[in-house]
Amino acid sequence: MKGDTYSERELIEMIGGDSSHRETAIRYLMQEEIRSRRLSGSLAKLGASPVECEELVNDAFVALIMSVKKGSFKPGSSIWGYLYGAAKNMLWKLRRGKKSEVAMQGYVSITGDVDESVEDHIIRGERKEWLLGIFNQLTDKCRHILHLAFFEEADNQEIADQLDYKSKSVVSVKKSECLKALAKLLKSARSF
Amino acid sequence: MNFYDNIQAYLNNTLSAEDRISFEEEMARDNDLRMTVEEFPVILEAIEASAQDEARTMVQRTRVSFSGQERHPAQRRVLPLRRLSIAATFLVLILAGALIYANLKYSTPALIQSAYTAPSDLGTFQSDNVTNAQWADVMLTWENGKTEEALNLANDFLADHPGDADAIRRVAHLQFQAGNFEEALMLYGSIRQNRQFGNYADFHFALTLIKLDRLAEARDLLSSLAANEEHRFAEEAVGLLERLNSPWRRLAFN
Repeated sequence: MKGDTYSERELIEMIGGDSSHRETAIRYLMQEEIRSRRLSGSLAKLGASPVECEELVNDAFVALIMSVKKGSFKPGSSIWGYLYGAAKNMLWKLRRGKKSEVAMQGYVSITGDVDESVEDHIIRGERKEWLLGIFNQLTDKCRHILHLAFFEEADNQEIADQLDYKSKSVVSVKKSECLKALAKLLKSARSF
Repeated sequence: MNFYDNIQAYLNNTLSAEDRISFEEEMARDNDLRMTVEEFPVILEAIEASAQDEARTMVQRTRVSFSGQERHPAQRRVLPLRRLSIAATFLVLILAGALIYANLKYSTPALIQSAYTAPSDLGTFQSDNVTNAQWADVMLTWENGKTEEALNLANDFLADHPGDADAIRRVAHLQFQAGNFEEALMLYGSIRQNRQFGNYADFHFALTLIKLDRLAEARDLLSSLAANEEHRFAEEAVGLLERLNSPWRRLAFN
């Protein structure tokens, strides 16, 4: 990658693509951030400590990935403008109070919704932890299949190729079983 | 049709009318399918939470791979200042050390102290093999710290021994030690031609000139002593000249 340069449009396409392209794009952007301190320099001017700067920059990168993958990143928007807006918004939330609790939740709102209250922010964080706990009860295979199918939006044939299944129909059956298993775990966790 | 593959299409209302009816009939028969459809929004939320977690891990991993290359702006400002202050501290310590060294070895009192020699037989004065009681009085008074009184007695002693080079040398020493450098200079000067005490008087005459800050004269005299190999104080004169001309003298407080 050394020496490569990418336009913002290319970077967005890479982030929206498979994990290897996404990692290349994030590495490229992170290198630029560390070289020029575009985000952390601005955050430091707003009073963020070195530790806060690092966490906020990381969180802003996560927000960018989620925004692109969910299709909510507006085409033509500036990547750095988005990252700065997201990081500043998270810093604002930290400053609003309950600093330590919010920091523990990490990134929650991928929309950077300024109107969200700190309390809502924390509740969302707790819900995320609860969902993660249930999702992690699935087998590695199931987690992988569901991730590829519903986050990477890979079709059954692509999943079969990636995970070495004999055919897409095997993936279809496996996916059904994983969905059922997750639904049961969610339902029983809620009733409990 | 695999109904589980079509849950999203069913919920998005993008199934054909025929498939939709078929899907709903299956849901009526299959409780698991119905439950999965009901839970589907939460399932997507859980997958998103997991993807977000994975993205965070990837971002952190990427940052760690650059560790050591980054520095917070505040740290960037602080670091040169810290380095400067460390350098300044070292500089101050080196300068202080140099000043202490220069003053211990090259100040005028240090030069004099290291070069000055008191007469070895100062305690007693004999004339015609008889110990002189008058000089014994002078020294007793001197040793009791009565400087003025001792110097008066010494002058009486000098008057009683006119032209005695040994007597002059002793009194010159007392005058020098009492800080009366003009008197000491005159006395040392008066016996520089003496065969027995002339060499001693030359060198201590030069030391007295240094004390009086008449450095050019002192240098001239020391140079001539140093050039004279037969002079008893030639070696001392060389050493004293070197120290007198040393650059360290510039750092010494005289």
